Amino acid sequence: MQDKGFTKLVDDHSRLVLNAAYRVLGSRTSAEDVHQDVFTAIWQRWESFNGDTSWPAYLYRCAVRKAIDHAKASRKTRSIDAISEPAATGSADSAAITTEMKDKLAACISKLPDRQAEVFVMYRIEGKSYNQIAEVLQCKLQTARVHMHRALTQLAKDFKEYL
Amino acid sequence: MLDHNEIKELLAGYALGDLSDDQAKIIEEHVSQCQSCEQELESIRLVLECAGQMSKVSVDDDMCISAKEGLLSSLSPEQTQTTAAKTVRKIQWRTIMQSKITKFATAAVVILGVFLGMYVLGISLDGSSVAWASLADHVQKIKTVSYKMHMTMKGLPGLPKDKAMEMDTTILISSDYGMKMEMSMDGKVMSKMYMLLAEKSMISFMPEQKKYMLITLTDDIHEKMKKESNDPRAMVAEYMGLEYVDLGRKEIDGIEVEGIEVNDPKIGGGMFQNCIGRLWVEVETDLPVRIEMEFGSDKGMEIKGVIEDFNWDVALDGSEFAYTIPEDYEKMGEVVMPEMNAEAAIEGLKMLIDIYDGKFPKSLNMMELIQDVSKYRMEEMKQKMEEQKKAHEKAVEEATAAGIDPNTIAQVKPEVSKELQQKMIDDQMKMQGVCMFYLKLVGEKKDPAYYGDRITPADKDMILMRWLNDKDGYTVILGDLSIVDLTPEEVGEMEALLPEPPKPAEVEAHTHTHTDTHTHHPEAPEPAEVEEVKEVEELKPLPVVPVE
Repeated sequence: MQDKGFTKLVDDHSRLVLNAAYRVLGSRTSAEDVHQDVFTAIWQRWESFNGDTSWPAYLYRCAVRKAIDHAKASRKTRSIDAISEPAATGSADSAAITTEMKDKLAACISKLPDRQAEVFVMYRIEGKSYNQIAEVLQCKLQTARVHMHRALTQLAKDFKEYL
Repeated sequence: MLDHNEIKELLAGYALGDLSDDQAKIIEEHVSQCQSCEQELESIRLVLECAGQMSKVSVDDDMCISAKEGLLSSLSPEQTQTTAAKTVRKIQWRTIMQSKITKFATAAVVILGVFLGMYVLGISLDGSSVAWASLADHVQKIKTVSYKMHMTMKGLPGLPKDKAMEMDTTILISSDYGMKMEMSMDGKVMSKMYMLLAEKSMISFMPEQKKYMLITLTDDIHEKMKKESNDPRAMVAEYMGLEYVDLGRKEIDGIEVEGIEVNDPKIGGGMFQNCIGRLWVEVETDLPVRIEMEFGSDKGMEIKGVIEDFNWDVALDGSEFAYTIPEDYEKMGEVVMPEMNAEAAIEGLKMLIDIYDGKFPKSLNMMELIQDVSKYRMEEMKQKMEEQKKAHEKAVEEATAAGIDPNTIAQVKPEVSKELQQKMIDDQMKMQGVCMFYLKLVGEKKDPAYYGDRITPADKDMILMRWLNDKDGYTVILGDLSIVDLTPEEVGEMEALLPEPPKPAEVEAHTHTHTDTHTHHPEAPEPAEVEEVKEVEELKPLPVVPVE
């Protein structure tokens, strides 16, 4: 890889992409797959990007979308094929929230309509504000809020079994 | 004053702190007295807590370095889009195929696809009817298979409610020639059907009636049949999205088998609401030994089937697939399979408006529509036969009055005219045109929605059906059955204008329930207040809008 611009892009934003994917998927391997997918897709069209791209917002959205896609593809094999992996830095699980519940939530998120899934991940898992989400998704703040409410209502239905 | 359902819709907003103080107070008062809402709120809070836990992790430096190095070493300046895409596909393929049990799941759904395509639909929606050669890597080389199936069906159109119909079928499939199947009831062969890859039609012989029927396939379906018999990856990738339960190991006829259970309406081809499939595979060879299916529709139709007696790689020279039409057989009807496109959908909808008293069917659930269309046309046939009977009785009366021996009046056996029979077939095909197009859109994740439960043909400018097109927008069929292309925002606005969906009690009162269609906004409307946003997506899990 010789292109300095692309190498710098990867250097500057790898952590952002990996974090977004890792939080949704809870797996290092899967997060690395998403990282690979996101940057490979950009490299394929590298020539077509001009200097106007707002990389953090663009990459962040790509990472969240790809992570959701990845969760969709892997949600069926997860329970059988998952290998427990060491956690990266971060606090231990709360006593009440089990790994199974997190896996279940990731699977349920992947079943939401894409826009709802994106908003939920950005708002609740990534801690973005409605304003920031509206900016990334280029929609109105109220739209982001509506998506969040709908996503949460649907996810709660899927989660009743844990009560 | 807000009612229970309205409060329920606001619970998410309440838990997120998005409501005004006044609204929050109303919610709190209601929740303190309503167990169901209290439980819902608890569930919402649990989701939020769980997501909160997920947010607390972040990657370390080692992982960042490793991911960067892995990425940069895998890319080269010469890398083309094609090779990159192949890399991605390869990764996905490896992930998909890494689990043995995954292969079983794949096989299960492929087999169920064959079952449905052949026996319920009459054709396969996605070409799975010839996909036996594409079970998985280890079965790819197998070119032929024969098997037997026993089916018990209840609640079929025209059958008394509790009357079960038993059917035995022998099937022979070859990836070179096509498929042949023989159906028997009470020991009598009722139908022999040939579906040959070299021909663009199916032919079905009915020895009892000495009749045959020709079914012409569309180019689309025929091409897909031929192509997919050689490309197992397409099938596997398509069906990988189903959950299954591992049933463990047991013995069937002295063979050690391992089983899985799939519980998903998708294996019912979108026609049954409750679908369970169990696949038992020989541990040593990975080949299916027995498949059990239990499908049920909300309308009381039940199909149970067991497939067994598999013979793999049967030696064939093609003669098994040769047939001649016996001279004394009469052609019963000509069936032309409908195309699966917007024009066919509109043709189907036009026909259905007649059947549903000038309205649209409430949903596009094919099993329900098959029943309703059959019922409608059978009533018509019954009426015609009644007319024939009355005409005969009148002739006898007149003869008696005129002093003529009534026995000289020829006995007339009421029978259904060929035109009516053909009309019934044509209507069923038209109905399949719209239903199969819709199922195809669901399968292709084109975000389809149908609002026949909300509008009538009088609502000329309102949205009846929509799906994603290739131009980043939606193609829409309006109430007057005209077609327009709209942007997602325009579709969102039009959907916001739709009347509320019928409440569950009202739905119950109708013949057609809202089960197989989806209703949701591609882009949420922009209401002034959150509380004005009505959930229209509760009826079933939502379809996925593909990311570009």
